[in-house]
Amino acid sequence: MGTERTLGEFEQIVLLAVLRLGDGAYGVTILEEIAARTGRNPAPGALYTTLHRMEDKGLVTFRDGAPTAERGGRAKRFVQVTDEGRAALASAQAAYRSLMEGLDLLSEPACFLGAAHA
Amino acid sequence: MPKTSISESLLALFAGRDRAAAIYGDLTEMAATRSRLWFAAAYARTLLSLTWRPLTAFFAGAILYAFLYDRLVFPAMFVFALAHLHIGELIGDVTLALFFLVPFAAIRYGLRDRVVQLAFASVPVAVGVVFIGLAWSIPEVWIAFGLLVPISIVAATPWRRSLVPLAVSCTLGAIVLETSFHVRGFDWAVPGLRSLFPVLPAFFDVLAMAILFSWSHRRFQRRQFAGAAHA
Repeated sequence: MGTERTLGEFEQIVLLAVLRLGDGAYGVTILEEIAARTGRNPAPGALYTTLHRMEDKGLVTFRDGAPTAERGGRAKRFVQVTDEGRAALASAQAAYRSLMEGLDLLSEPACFLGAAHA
Repeated sequence: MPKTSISESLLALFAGRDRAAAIYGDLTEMAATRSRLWFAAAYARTLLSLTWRPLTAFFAGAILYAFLYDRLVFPAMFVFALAHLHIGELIGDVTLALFFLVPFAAIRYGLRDRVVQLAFASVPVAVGVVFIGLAWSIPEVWIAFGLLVPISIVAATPWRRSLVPLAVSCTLGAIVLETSFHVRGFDWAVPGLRSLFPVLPAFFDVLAMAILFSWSHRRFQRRQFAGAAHA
């Protein structure tokens, strides 16, 4: 059934951030990457629930890093996007791209784009 | 191994030990450049976001379970018991389990989830079978329906894995119901219910179903997106 493969907007943002970060993607860096790229500051809880949901769906996997002192001796959990995650993201992005065709939104004046984030 | 604090243990209760350690570590790392107040607020918001959905799902399911037990299933099972129609009692038990599982699963996993859709589809079938049984009192009708429905689901490949969490949870719910509801001494008056309600047995029944359903859902629905990469 097609509906099961759709991704929410925040899921796509998280997957894109993880792909951009490569091997260094874990909770803190993902939040920083999203903040730097989108101007949003998502709550840590929102990120974790999304990551856990995507892990349950098989879209991402985790691998444990080494424990560090700055984390109180706890290990980082690095995130990796699976093949299923990549395919779901590509499918969602293709749908956006198809809908954007013929609409010249990305060349709108910068003040208009800025207003959307205000 | 770092010493686990009470706050981390509380996170582990809802997120699992590994996930909780990673979350707590992330918050600790981020708090190094922020205040203790920030840490407390971030921890509280994280805990809330991890818990609100399962807790809301649990209580919504438990309330519907109690209400429909009082108004629909208990009277029907009473009739079955008087008539010595044990298969009818069993289907009544399964129906009651579904009344908990449908709202629980819908809130916990959302309406796009296959197990939720299957649970929704099972309710009219189960209720219909109970009423057909009440009207006609023919045990063969129940047996035929009771076998036909799971067999047809198993035959439909995409739904096969979705049946497992539902089937095991309903079975457990029916077993706990049949065993624990004979324990007397816990029938209390509950506001909004007509008859005395077996509060503790019912609580353990829905708790057992919630735990098993969550575990089996994670185990069997984990690869919902599998195949998307090859589609």
